[in-house]
Amino acid sequence: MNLLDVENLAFGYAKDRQILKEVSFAVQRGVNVGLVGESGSGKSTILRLLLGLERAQGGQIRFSGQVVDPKDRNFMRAYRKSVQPVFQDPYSSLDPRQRVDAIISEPLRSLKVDVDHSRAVDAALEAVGLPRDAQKRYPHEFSGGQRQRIAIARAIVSRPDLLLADEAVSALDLSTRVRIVDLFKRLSETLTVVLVSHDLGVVAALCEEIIILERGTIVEQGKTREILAAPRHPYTQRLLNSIPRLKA
Amino acid sequence: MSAVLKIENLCVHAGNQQLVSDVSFAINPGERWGLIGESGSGKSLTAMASIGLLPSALSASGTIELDGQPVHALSERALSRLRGDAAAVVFQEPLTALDPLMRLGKQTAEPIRRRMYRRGEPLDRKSIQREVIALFERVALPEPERIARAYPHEISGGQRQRVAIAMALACKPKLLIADEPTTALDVTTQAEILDLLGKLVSEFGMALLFISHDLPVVANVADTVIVMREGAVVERGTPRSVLTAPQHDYTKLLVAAAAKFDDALAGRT
Repeated sequence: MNLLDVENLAFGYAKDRQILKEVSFAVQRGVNVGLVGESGSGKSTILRLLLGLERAQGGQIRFSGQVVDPKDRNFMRAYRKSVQPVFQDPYSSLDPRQRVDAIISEPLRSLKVDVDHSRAVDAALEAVGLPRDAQKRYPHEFSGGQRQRIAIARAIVSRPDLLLADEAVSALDLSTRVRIVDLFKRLSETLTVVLVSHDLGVVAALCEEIIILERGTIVEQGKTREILAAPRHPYTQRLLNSIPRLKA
Repeated sequence: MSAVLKIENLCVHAGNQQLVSDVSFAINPGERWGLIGESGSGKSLTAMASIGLLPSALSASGTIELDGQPVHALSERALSRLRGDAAAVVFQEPLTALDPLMRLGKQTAEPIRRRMYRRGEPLDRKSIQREVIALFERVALPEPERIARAYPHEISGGQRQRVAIAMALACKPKLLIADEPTTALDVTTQAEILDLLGKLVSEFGMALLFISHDLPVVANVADTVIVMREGAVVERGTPRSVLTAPQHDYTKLLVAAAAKFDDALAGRT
């Protein structure tokens, strides 16, 4: 059974302006997927629908076979334990007035996860490569890369099956970006990552499968390696040709 | 040939903390320089110091000559005059660089008017308007008349950056400083803007100081690159020498990071 099934998903803020048109894809357990597209392609909207932050106007999302229904509160609580987000900007996604341990344990409190909170926070910090003494510090005491590690620790503390990362490395410097991609790679031994990004290089480094979106429609999807080696759709070709390479 | 921008032993301090230490380089007319470094490396501070735009809480020492004039010794009034003529800046985020309440045509007309005033040319509303449209055409904006009437929020991010470039060109500067001009843009828009900048710099005969944290981007734009780390220059040379034979450990790290994504794209991992 697939971890996630998305079938004919449709969404729009106005009737004549559809953001997503009949989007269908599946995510298998253990296979990272990259959702690639430019501003306005609908990739972040898909993520918001997957998180239950918006309601689809058509189609269906199933998680491990069960339909994701934002109105079903019991299901959504279990779903949120299993599906956690990491956002783009670690400067705005962490509460500046909370200490790191409170930030990381927040999902455990709000989702009423019955585990030893301090042990879970310790384990999450260790998994993202931050020292234990980071717990009593505030977000402003950390660099951008370290903050993103805190955001990832918060996302993995409830031991989710699926991590939804929205441009999670785009705001980071190049060398930090490599380290965070490596961290995601290591974490994906035990969970699955869906990475939304406009950066094909990052997707190529992390995701085995890729979905290319243009104006709310999937124009190409399949194995990352194959699509990057022989992109069929003109939009994918244009994306690939636009990337500045070292060996230009 | 006298340099458009000559920086010697520039140091920038915030109290006791040294943010930029001992940076020296000179840009001659028509040359393209790239400044590479990560957040906090001092690259933007160096650029802002070179046009006398450092925040007042920071102090600078060393000498900076912009178009032969000592930046630190000039009054704000003289500096303001020098900035348009000698150097113009394109910033990272065009949405914050443009005035949200002013039509794009009107904001672009402002630097044209200032330039005409400085040069003692007659200020004629129609010819200013014509120049706005001509500039919008030069930066390949579609429907220049419509965009001149539009507000910044009504056009796309790439189009906004084109307007910001048009405003910088309106000054007809000798040096164009582009501070991460494509970081906030999509990858295809980035390619278009880089292409445009390259063309315009040649057409206008300007020198370019291109600042970015993205090594491959800078390598594709500049003839000479400077790598900065923690406020100091750690390496300089042609893009080819820096990329193929990096000397400093930090440059090696940056090249390795960029190569990793390159390799992934080429299916080599």
